[in-house]
Amino acid sequence: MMELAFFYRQAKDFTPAGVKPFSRVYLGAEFCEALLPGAKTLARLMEKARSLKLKISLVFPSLSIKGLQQAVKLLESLDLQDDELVIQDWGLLYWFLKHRPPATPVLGRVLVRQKTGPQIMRLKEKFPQVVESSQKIPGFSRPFFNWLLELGIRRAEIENPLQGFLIPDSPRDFAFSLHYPTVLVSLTRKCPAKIASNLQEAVGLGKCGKICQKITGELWNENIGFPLISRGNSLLYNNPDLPPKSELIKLGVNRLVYENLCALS
Amino acid sequence: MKICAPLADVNELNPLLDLGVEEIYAGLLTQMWEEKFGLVLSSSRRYGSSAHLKDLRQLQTAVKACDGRGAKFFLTLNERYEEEQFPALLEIIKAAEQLGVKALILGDLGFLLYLREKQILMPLFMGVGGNVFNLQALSLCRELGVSRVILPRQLTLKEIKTFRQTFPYMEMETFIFRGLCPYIDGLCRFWHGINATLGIEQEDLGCGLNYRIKFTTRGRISPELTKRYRQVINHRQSFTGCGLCALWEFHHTGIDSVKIVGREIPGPDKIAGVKVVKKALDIVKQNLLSREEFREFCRESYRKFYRKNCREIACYYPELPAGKSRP
Repeated sequence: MMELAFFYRQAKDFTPAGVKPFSRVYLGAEFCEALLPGAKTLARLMEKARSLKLKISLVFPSLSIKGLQQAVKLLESLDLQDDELVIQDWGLLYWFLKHRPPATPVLGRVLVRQKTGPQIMRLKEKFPQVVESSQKIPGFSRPFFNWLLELGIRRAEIENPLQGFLIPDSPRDFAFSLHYPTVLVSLTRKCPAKIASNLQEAVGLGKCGKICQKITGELWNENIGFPLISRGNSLLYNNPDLPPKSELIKLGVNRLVYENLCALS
Repeated sequence: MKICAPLADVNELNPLLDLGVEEIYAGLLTQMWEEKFGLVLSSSRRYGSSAHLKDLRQLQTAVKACDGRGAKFFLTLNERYEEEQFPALLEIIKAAEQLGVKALILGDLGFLLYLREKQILMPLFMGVGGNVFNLQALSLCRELGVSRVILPRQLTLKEIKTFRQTFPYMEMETFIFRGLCPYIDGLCRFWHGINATLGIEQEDLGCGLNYRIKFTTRGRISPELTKRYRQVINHRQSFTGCGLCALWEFHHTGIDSVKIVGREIPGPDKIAGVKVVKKALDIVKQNLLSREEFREFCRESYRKFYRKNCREIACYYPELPAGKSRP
């Protein structure tokens, strides 16, 4: 059975028509702590999600010292009801282990760190075996899975890069969520949108005006060979070509998470 | 505070040790590894043989030379690995342990856990692949037996100071010279080594390319903003990275070691870079200049070395006042 989830981005996502094929919603921010919603907003969204009978996954990005303090404050303010907590920061995981709030931890795609750069496809003709071996997700090893299970983590989130993906042998009770169509390539603290919008701060240290909600850049270079999208602190691309559901289930994927970050909503 | 300098060729050893370098790090890319796994599945996040020691004999030479001069040699194995690579890596590590390598620089948590299982007792350093961006992440590393953390190059001086004050007994290393990719090492998924595999000499780092950019906007966005966005994207990679000014702060904060990037840089150039850092560090240690004079000295050192003014975009710690030019 494939569970269908979506990442909430705007009010119209929460209309009956908007939620129709989905049974789960992702709330929060995946890649930038400046985009985390406030406590009141998040609580309101959670309430609305529950009223629409949607299960909830709360998502937190990689966090600075200050960002983690804010994230913890936010989590402590919420009425968690065995919701999922998608963790993308080792510090947040550490906090979770020490405090064990009533939530199910999930290893987010930022920490899974699949190799996704599109340039690998340039090797397809001359070195097809390299492209094939690049499908394997590095870092997923038996000691790592065992450790995750010990910590109570039984799900990890992965992506669908151009070369495809192969999940190495994973424990039987471990599941995977696949994000689509957006694939993350890289993250920066020197956010070009922030730098461009704040002329006083050449390196992006200043306050954030969240201009990334109003502008994306499509980047093209022959050496990459595939259009990249610059959005805020993230470099992304879209790969809408999903393997058939039957194949995904064989690979260990039992949830699809829809989020098109490459498009302005 | 020590200098941690890069090495790829044993001929670079003596000049580095003559300069008084006390820590040296290098990767190892054997012919066996290259044949079995190719260049894109590197053993140490650098690609091509010119960035690595090539065999155990060279590793032995390097460790012996360091031991003889009171320096420490660290082996860099900071990639994220597939489990089928673990046995080949373990073989290297066991040999390294016998040769007297002082620590391993890692970037893969699963691999770290594997080494603990295999009772590898060498000190383990967590490299930038560990993404230690907050104090709790550092606590996790400490509980996993990490003895030194190499702090991500994107941290601010204020954050570094907080790390140091909160964990006074944990070894900490920070970046000081060269490199400076704008992307976060541990969160970047670009492939490197594609051109090397294709036999093309020119590097193809996604972060260093010039892109044609087409913007999609919503609402009012000024042409000045898009112009500037374009400039930022296309002036991102600065191989002329520098954090020399921050040596002052690091010395007074009690940072254990400062890292010079560039294992792949040719020997003479590499040694010239180490000289610049060594000279600046000596000034700080001997308290020869005031803080302001020291900053001016660093700016001048940058100008002489890179033949251009220091710029914020090339600055590791831009909260310190730098040159005037913008990206």
